[in-house]
Amino acid sequence: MAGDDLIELKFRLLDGTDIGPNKYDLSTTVESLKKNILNIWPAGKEISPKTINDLKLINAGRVLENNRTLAESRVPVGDLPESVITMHLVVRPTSTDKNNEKQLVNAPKTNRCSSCTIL
Amino acid sequence: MASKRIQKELQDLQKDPPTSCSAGPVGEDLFHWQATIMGPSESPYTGGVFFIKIHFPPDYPFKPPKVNFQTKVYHPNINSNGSICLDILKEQWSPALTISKVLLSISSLLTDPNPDDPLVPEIAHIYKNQRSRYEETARAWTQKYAMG
Repeated sequence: MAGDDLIELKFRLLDGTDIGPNKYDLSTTVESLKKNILNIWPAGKEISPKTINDLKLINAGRVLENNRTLAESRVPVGDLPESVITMHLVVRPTSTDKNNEKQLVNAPKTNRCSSCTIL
Repeated sequence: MASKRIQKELQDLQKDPPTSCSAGPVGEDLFHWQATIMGPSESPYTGGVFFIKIHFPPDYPFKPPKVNFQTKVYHPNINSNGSICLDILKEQWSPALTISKVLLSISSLLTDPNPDDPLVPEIAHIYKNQRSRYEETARAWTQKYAMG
């Protein structure tokens, strides 16, 4: 494998910590990159994504598409740094539980109101 | 001059971007960028990813970049066209500022709106007088427009 075909990437999380850096082949698709991230996910993090659908990769202000390769996802102009490139990694919030909680909180409220009307 | 400076900012952003912001050129035109801001965790915008368009003037950094939200945001200082009311994008611009610093300022504006210099007076009014209603709407818009 020629060194030119490799790219060194770091993934920056919203809590300010980084995963990596690791070297990837430029022909790697974003989808398999996400799978790899799930595999190397550090233990002891507050958030732990279950599937690649929980992950959003952002480079240069753009959300990367699963079916693109890293070569296609790179910044199209300019001299890129020789060193590591840092991408952003957003983990989709698992909001289903919170929604349920909200609904539960809302429910008694409605009851209370209707009982007020009865009184 | 301008393009050299923009190149430098691009390199810095690729190497070591702020935790909450990402930015780079859209296509081959170095003067036309897109950016994302991750909604600050201590704000009703948390969990959202907000898209922004950036245009650099030919005499950048002596003139400020033009910065617009592409994602709908419920905020006293951001209107429905995505225009942002922020002093450093106008009279307070300085050539020492960078896109990275501009994006961080926008991120702080999301956390701390400035209702005394509003772009959308109705939202500023609600922000001042009915804080929980403002937070609720801002959260609902974030969920609807910025979590896709």
